[in-house]
Amino acid sequence: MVDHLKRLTWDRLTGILQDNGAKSEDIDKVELIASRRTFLGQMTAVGALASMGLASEVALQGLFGRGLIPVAWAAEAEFMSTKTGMTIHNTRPVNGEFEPHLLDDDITPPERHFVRNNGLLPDRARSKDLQGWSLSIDGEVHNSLVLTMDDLKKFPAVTLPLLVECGGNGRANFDPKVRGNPWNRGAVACSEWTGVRLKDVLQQAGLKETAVYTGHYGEDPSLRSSVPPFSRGVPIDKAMEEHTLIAYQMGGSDIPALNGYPVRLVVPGWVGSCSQKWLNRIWIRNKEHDTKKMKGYSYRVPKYPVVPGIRPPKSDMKIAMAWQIKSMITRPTPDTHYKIGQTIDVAGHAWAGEDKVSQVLISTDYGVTWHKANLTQRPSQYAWYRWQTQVSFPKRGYYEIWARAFDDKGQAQPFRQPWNPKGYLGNVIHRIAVHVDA
Amino acid sequence: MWMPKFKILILLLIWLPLNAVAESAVSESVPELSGKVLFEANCGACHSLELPKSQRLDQGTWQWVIDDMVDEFGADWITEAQQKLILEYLVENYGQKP
Ligand code: HEC
Repeated sequence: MVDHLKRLTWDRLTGILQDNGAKSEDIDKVELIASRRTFLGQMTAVGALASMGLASEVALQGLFGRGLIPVAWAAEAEFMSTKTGMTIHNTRPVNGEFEPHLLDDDITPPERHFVRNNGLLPDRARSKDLQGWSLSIDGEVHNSLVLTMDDLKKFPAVTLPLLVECGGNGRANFDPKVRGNPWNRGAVACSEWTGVRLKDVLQQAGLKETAVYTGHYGEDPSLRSSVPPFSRGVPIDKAMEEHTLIAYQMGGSDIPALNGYPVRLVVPGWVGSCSQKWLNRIWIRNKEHDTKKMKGYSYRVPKYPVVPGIRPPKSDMKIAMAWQIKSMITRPTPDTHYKIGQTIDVAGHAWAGEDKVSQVLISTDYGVTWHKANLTQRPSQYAWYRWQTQVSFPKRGYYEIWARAFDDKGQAQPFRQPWNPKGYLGNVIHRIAVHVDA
Repeated sequence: MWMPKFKILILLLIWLPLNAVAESAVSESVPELSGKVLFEANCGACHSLELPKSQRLDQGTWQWVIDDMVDEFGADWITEAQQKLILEYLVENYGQKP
């Protein structure tokens, strides 16, 4: 390997591309991208390629050997410009979130929906080409189905606001720090989804007695082609729940490329990885789905509370499923300055996985005293609730606004984040700072 | 189309001191590359380096991450000796402050 670490030139690059079987049209695409200023403002495409890890010939050879070409990364980054204001954790694969004050809308607009991708953007999502796309339903069913978009649209359409939240949302608040994208609070969205009920499709296929779990597959290539694609599933009851959708629109338009065009699952209230993007197959299983992403420490939490920093054995881990009680302050913007006595509108969202939110309490004195915020009913199950209140401060100083939500089972958000090895299901209370000037 | 090609060359040369470092290592035919070079050459092959660079992990967790990359995610070409150097580099530069 060492001898391949040589300086890269354009000719060497095209040479490597050719040696590794890149088609001439791919090479043309690389040229095209290199000749345009495409995305991210002033940064040239070439610069972006470089920053994305086009670091050395050795890395390149490895990549092209795996069937990856820079055009794939470049185009992916190009789509990030559709998410103005996103805090980007990672450009390849794309992972980014919005700060809570940018998520104030009751219905999250598509351009503010977080992006959590495990693999690469499929060609189809990039070109918006439906040709050749279909969704298969197979496994423990009486009639396997292969549905085109037209077939899918023959099932009754439903449009619902539904909450999707990455299982790692809140990971940045874990102490000791854990591995993974350091999501703060914004890997959550309540967008309006249009699609068909998964239940209706499964009923048409006819579930066998033996059907207990789903296994979801999508078109996104994994980061290394020898590694199996990202796949997870849910117990059949959740699949049959009437809010679980095979969605083909978000906010009344095609699903954005980065969020799963043309079709994805929406399994609301559960960890986001259940909601497979770029969906093309659902395998009905006669046992718990058993891919890598269902096993070990992936999307799993300890069966019992553990010492922070200590990883229990695999056999003591269980699958993370529904989210727990949670809330977020979306107004005001943190670190806003106010005058003494000025009325401050405070608002946000609360949600509770499979449960209902019963109340949201607010404190402006580090939890010494609390008052109840007004809670508005959600438009439908699995949408988030709106809460709002007003506060003002009689003296100058630094203040924090804390929000704490309760569910209908009496569970409230914790003051300190309980720890698990991969930082899943974080729901510690949200605190923001405000300043009152003399 | 020649201008952009030229730009690639220039940009890569400016942006990537790594290449120069690697090359000098090669020309001296010392097989040992530094942990930094190994990290940058290998750990950005599948995902951008932003991902590992955003982490602040203790030695045990970094070891766990590297084991997963090699055993589960397909970074199987990184030798054990190289893994060790990468681990030291990561613990030193992206470690967890006690
Ligand atoms: C062969 C491909 C490949 C290589 C090479 C690789 N990784 Fe990864 N890495 C992955 C995949 C796949 C993921 C999981 C991505 C996801 O699901 O979002 C990942 C995720 C990560 C994560 C964050 C998530 C987690 O699982 O903790 C870190 C940190 C990381 N890699 C570090 C490294 C380091 C350090 C190296 C170099 C030793 C490296 N990677 C090399 C494929 C690779």
